[in-house]
Amino acid sequence: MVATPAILEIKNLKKVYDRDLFKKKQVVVNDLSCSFLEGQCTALMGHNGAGKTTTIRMIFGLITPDAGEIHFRGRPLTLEDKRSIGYMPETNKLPTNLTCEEILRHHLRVFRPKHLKPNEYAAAIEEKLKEIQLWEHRHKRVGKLSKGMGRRLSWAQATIHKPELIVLDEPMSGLDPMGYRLMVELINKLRREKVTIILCTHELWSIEQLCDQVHIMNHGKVVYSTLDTKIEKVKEEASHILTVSGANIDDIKKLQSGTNLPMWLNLEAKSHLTQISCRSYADSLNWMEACMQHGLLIVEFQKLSNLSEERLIQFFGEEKTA
Amino acid sequence: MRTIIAVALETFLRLRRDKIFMPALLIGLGLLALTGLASFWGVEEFFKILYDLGTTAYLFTGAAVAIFWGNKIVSDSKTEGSLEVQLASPIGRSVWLVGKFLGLSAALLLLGVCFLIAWQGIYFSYGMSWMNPFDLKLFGVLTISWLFLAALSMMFATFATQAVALFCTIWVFVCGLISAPILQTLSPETPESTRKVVEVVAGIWNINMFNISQSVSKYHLPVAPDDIGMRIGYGFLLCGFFLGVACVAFQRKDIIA
Repeated sequence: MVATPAILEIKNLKKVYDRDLFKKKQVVVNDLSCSFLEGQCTALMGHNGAGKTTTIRMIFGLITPDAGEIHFRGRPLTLEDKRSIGYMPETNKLPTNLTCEEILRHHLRVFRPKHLKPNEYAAAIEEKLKEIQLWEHRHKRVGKLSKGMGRRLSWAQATIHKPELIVLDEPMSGLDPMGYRLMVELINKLRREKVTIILCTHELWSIEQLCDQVHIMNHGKVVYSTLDTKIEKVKEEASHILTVSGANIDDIKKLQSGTNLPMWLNLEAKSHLTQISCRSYADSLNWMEACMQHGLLIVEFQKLSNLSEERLIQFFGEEKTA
Repeated sequence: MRTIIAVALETFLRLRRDKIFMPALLIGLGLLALTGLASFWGVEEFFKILYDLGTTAYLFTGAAVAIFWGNKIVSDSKTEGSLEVQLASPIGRSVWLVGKFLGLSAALLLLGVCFLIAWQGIYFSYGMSWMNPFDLKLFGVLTISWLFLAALSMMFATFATQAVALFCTIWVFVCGLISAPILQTLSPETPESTRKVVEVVAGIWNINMFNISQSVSKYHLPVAPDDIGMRIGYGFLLCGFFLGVACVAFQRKDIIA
């Protein structure tokens, strides 16, 4: 099998800010290295201040790195390469006194996409505005648009030139359920078209539904990456915990080996109690039944739909050791 | 080149719709109308008052708008975040600045054309014919001063916050207005070294040299074409210098919206 090539590679990137008058230095991005595979959707996660936005800004040349390299298709990223990249920032950062149509036209004039001739711009704008359901508002100025409409226009601006790589910074923020659904559809459409996507988000649901890979950042570096494992493993851990009394870890192990009970994900002793972490609801029901049959007292049955979130919090709290 | 034109078009469109455009236009037209009335009712020579007040109104209205817009187009782009999106696209920073300056220049020229129409209106209202070529030269040279003031304002806006940049620009503008009068009022007892410094400052930064009506109305000196050419050239040189400094300062500045 041929390995998927990386469209964007970040190598040993570093950025230090001089925070105040006394030049107290803050390392925002610290020896960051990661890759983004072609045709895949990769989530870039991290708590506030982890260095995600600074990294994105360095990719686009908005912030000059103190050290490190950014490679696009195997060579240093140039201004010309930006023609193949789209960017949707976290908030609507559009000129407020231009109309939707004017913004997209200006964008096309700047990007001059190869697949479009100048006389085809109007048709491309119409198609894009219809896609994001803003065609009726094409003459409306951005300042008059709702936040959700602004998000959709930002999307249009980031994608109208048909980029090979698109960076989406919190694309779902501020969207109502309808807008949210539309955004998911639009991202999925890009995925089907094999556009490489970098998705900066805090929403686990979005990652599970949309992303092929995940990079988790903490203190300016990647502390977890799915590039050598699969994201399903992270999803797999979202499960249930059964807390039982009257049996220690060895008793539970014996119980499992003597029957065909499903294997636990984790077994942990908590004081005189034992916690059995199960893979799924069905597994936890089997364990519950077996425990009751063997006279064990079930103290707590906990659904951990956000186990991934807990795991992320763990990542945010620890440095990568490998 | 096409990218510069795209940025310039966008800037021109935005400034034409800017809230300050109509008030500035109305104030400028109002001042020119008052100039006409003042010269009609004035006790001194009609044309002297007309030109003195008219050029002052033209210079100050345009300078105020140029300074404000020069500051606004850079600072607003930073605060609303459109700078981040624009520079994330294939636009070089210098290209962005030059494009912005060209768009701003076009908007200022539009304002200048409106004022010239009003000026012609004053001529017609007093039963005179079309304005003479000297008027076009006069307002043309004055307009150059708007342009380099806009470049000066943009320069400060690239490396300072909006308020600081505006303060610095106004301060430097005032310096340019008073440098020549200060030189003229120096007493013979002034130390030579001080005189030299003031002479250098007044020689480099003297906004009054762009108001050629003073040469005519105050000193009754005809302005030679070469002299006008020199003033225009020097004005463009100042534009280039301020923009050049702005480009260098902006080149490695981190864009953090």
